[in-house]
Amino acid sequence: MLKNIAKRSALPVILLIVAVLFPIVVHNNYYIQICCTSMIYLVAVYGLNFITGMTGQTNLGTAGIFALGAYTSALFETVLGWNAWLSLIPVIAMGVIIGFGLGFPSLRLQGIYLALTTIALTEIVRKVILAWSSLTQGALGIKQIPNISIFGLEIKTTTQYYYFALVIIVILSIICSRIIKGKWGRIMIAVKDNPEAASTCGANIVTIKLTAFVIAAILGCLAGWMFCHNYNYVNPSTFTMDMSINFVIMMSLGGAGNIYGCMLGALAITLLPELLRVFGEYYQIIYALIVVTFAVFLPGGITSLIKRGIDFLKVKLRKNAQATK
Amino acid sequence: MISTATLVQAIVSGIAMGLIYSLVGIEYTLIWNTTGMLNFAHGKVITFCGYLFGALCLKQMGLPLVWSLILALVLAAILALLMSSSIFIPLRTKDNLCCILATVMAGKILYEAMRLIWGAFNVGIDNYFPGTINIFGATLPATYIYVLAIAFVMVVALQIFLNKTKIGKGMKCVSQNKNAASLMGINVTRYMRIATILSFVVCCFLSILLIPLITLSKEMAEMIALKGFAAGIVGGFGLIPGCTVGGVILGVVENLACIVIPSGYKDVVAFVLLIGFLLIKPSGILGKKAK
Repeated sequence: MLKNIAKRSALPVILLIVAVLFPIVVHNNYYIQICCTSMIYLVAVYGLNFITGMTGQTNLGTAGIFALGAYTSALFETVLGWNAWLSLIPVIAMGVIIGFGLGFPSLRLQGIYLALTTIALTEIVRKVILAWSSLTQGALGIKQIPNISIFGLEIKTTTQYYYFALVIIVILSIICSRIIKGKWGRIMIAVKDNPEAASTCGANIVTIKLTAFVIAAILGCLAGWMFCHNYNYVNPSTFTMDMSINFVIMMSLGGAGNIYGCMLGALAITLLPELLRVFGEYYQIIYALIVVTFAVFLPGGITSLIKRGIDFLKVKLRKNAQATK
Repeated sequence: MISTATLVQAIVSGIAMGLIYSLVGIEYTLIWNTTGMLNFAHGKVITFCGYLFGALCLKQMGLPLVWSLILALVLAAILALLMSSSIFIPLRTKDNLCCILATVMAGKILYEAMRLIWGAFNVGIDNYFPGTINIFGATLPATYIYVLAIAFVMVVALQIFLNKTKIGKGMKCVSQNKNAASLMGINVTRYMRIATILSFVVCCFLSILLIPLITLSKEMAEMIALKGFAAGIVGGFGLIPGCTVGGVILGVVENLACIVIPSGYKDVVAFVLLIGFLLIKPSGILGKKAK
């Protein structure tokens, strides 16, 4: 029993220790900022994982959800002067609205049609933000978004933000892994694999699809909320289709339907430009080639490779044990 | 009150833009019908063909228009062969998400190739459709009339080609039933290659029509490529005549809406139409039954 718990919690504890020690060991502010960005993206990827990774509904509109979250909190704080924590309420409300707004079409539309709907959503959001300059200041973006403060402690430095984001990530990771392993997660996977069979077994497809979309949109908006407090600035040119595609890449490169896969993907994709910097001008092409190779040869992502490797080793060890007997 | 001149101007330029959306629709529908993959790289393909034609042939090699066109078409066909055998054919049976990622990233590779070969700046090209034209008191750049004429001829020619020739009929068979087609002795992958080549040739023509309308830049076809999807949805997804009708409707509605609403919201119209049609009539105007 005790051994089992130790076995299960070994990986998360090691990861947490590494994450806590990271800013203490690495003093370079730039790398800490990259980790902050990847944690913000990770929140959105957790959300995407529920729709696309588990329920199998293609969503290419995460950038739109992210933008709505970021702009909602930015506007409430700069125009109405709300506090960052208070503005979390409209942000989450926005997430629920988007979740239902996208969830209902997904009941009728599938595959590429849903993908096009979500792309259209992103473009509408971006174009409206650009055109409605009296409210959103158009292409200039919203500046001077206040920092978050916790009981009077203002989060100013990158390191402070890092720990703040880390706390959020730990909480969300626990919640998401409970959902994935729980009843909802199992039904979601069933809906992805075979919706007819799932509904025959008594799963309510309508509720589960809506649930997946609402969770995803809330997480996407939350990521937007975190984003605009990290950069203190939002601008519509950030939220293009490229960003949505990046989220999908993060999810599928690491491995869909898996917390560690999402973490690996979010970290890898944000770090990759740094690692590929040695290639200079060619790094974008090499990045694209890497992703194409993954899409063609390894659709399950890196975690599927690791899983396959572990299974292979287990079988081999067992055979060896039998042979020695 | 809106004058007739504004209205005529809006409608003529709307039809011209609409025919361009139709061609975009036809171009990706050819690949969608044969391979079942949506080519998200098509905007980049159009731009790449534009660079091949404008920057490489016209500007750097100094060829006359016709020869530039021919050379650009040949190069586009080679690109089509490369892309079909590396992406469309191997991935056609794979998961939806993988297809999307692969085509988007292929577009990214094309984009970066353009940046590396032709530099980060826009390429200025003299307008090869010069002059203005007067219709019902409305003054229009002659470019629109040329675009209208060429696009119209192309749309009609493509319809005839797809419905009357053996290759066109073969593509139709492949799009209707791949198994039955291969049992009837049709080489399915060969037709996929042909469809890709045809699609890229249309892209090449599209870029040539676009260069005088919008300057040659690396982002020139982004919006048009996305609106091409809207054209397909409005007319009927996967139907070549549907794309034509949808594109023209989209172009005209967009321009007429611009008279009423602020022009900043012009691009929103197409996407609202896309979502509206998908929710109310997913099969589109010409589609018979919902898929």
